[in-house]
Amino acid sequence: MERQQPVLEVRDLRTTFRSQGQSFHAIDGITFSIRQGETIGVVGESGCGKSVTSLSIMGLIKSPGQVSGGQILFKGKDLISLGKKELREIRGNRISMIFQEPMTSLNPVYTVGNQISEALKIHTKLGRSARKARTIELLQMVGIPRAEEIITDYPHQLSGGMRQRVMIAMAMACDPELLIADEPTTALDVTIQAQILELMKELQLKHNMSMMLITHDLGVVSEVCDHVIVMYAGMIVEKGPVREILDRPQHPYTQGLLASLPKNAKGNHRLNYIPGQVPPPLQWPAGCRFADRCPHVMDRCRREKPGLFAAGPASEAACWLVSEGGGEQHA
Amino acid sequence: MPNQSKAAAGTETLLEVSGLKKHYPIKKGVFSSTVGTVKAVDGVSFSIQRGETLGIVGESGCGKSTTARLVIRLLQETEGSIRFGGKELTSLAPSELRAVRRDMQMIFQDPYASLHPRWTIERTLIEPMLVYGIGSRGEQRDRVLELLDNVGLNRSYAKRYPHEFSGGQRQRIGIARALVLQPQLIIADEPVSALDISIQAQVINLLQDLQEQYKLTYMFISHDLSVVRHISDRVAVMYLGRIVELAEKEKLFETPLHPYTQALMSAVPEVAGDKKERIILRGDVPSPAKPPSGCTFHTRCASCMDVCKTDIPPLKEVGSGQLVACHLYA
Repeated sequence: MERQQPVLEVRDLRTTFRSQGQSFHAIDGITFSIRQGETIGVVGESGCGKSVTSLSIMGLIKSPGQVSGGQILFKGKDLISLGKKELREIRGNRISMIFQEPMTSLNPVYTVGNQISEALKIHTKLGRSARKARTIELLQMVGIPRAEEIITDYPHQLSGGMRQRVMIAMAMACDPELLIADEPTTALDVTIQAQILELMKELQLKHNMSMMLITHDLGVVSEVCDHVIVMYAGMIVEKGPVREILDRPQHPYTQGLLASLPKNAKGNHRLNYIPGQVPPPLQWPAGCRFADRCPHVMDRCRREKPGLFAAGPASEAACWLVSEGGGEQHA
Repeated sequence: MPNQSKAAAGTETLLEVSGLKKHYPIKKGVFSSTVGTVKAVDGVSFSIQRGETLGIVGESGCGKSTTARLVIRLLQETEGSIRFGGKELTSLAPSELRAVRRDMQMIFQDPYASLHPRWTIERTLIEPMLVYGIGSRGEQRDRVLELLDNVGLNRSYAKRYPHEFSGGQRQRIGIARALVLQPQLIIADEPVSALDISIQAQVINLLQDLQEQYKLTYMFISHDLSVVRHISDRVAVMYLGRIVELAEKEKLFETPLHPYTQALMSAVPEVAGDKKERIILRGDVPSPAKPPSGCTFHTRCASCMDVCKTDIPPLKEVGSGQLVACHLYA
């Protein structure tokens, strides 16, 4: 599996938006790949560009925002250069997406069955009764009891956990090769989150599907992902195998995030925290974007932007401190 | 243990809630006849000692926010008693209640929604003083600056508007507003849930510093177990309108007794790599309009017995001070 061509390869991707008459890169040159059957987690705080990354891959960036540089290779084919029609054959079919709030991404005036079979109608040649049978089968696959009855229900008649199951059923309708899930369990209670994560792991294993999971919850990453990408202010600051990153983080931002978690503090002692806040895009500094909040900041950090350096056996971090450890620059 | 000195300080009961219920009628038809009731809070009892932090955890719809709103008198209870500083709040006249309200303040989850968008921060922080006729103009302004210092915001922010701030800063403003009248009890309803992890840690530290400085008592509501574990002295776990377990923090997290508490704790994803045994609950929380008979958790409980389907288990002390409502320990 290691030697295979990656399912998705993102190279030096830039997505540009405009604000207050100035344009800025919401994501600024990110590179990563996802292999078949692998789950990659994308973590970071609000505004770091993790959702823009997934929307860019799906071709869902709204004008005047646009993907302004780089490549998004899906099985070797560059999605950016594809026409609308070709993109539609891939999107929703071979790559599908689950969003955070199932209530806002389901259409309130159509029944659940209707919405799932719409995906089948667009992407398959199945007839009406075959679509109905497949819809019921999909709902059963995601663990919805009484699937035959649920297909005539409207989204508001279902609980949050059930709605997310419906979204997953819809995303799985065409057996996608890549599933992008943007905060799929953030709106759910923990006991329901546990059910949904279990379901996603199970489906992935069964279909040998690749998954990109966007989340702010490091616990979820630890339990579900193989690899993780840590983003800060539109860039990747650290990436690598999940245990390497979570157990021995090398970038000061990743270290700060992990130390801020209440369970890593002892008793009633004060929590560690990262001072200050993420700078807004128009105020991103020329050097390392984390420099103002970094406890180890050096002169060089303010002058030059660090590239990704080898930080652990298989991980990389964008930090001058890591480069001084003798690492070789990759980018 | 670091929390022992704090627990010992709280020997005087500040808030005592007993048998608190809030039922909403479900009305239907032309004559609005009542066809059922939603039991949002159904017989909740607890007390908070002065200077202590009581954490309340539970999933959506368990009644934790309704309980907070009943205590602070934003909602009228159906039944039960709320004693605050020795006064029975449920029978107070509106004018007396006004005086008591000064001593209880609330911090909300979404600081943006709870700040007036067209008021400067100064105006927002002066408002409670105007309502209670406290201080001269100059004294009020001085108090605003003092409050900004207290919550770690720059004094120059007084003239700015809420939209100019980040989420973490807005929550600091929400905290400053709760402190204006020097309350004794602060009810914080999911105060850090909308914040990013690194900012969340800053706000939690601030809340703990302020508690120490002003001897505040907190009722801290959250769905996040790790936050509750960090900040609380004692923790109550709610399920479908009732408290199922209440104990000192360490006891509750080390040896959870109620099957629901056990499932809730095992469901939290851990950052540390060591795999643990996970209890996955089947199904959803039942609707509070049609709660199951007996123990409301019996439909999802792995240890359900016959008695659970018929009898409501009382919240009883088991062993060393751990309260649990479960027939397994009867």
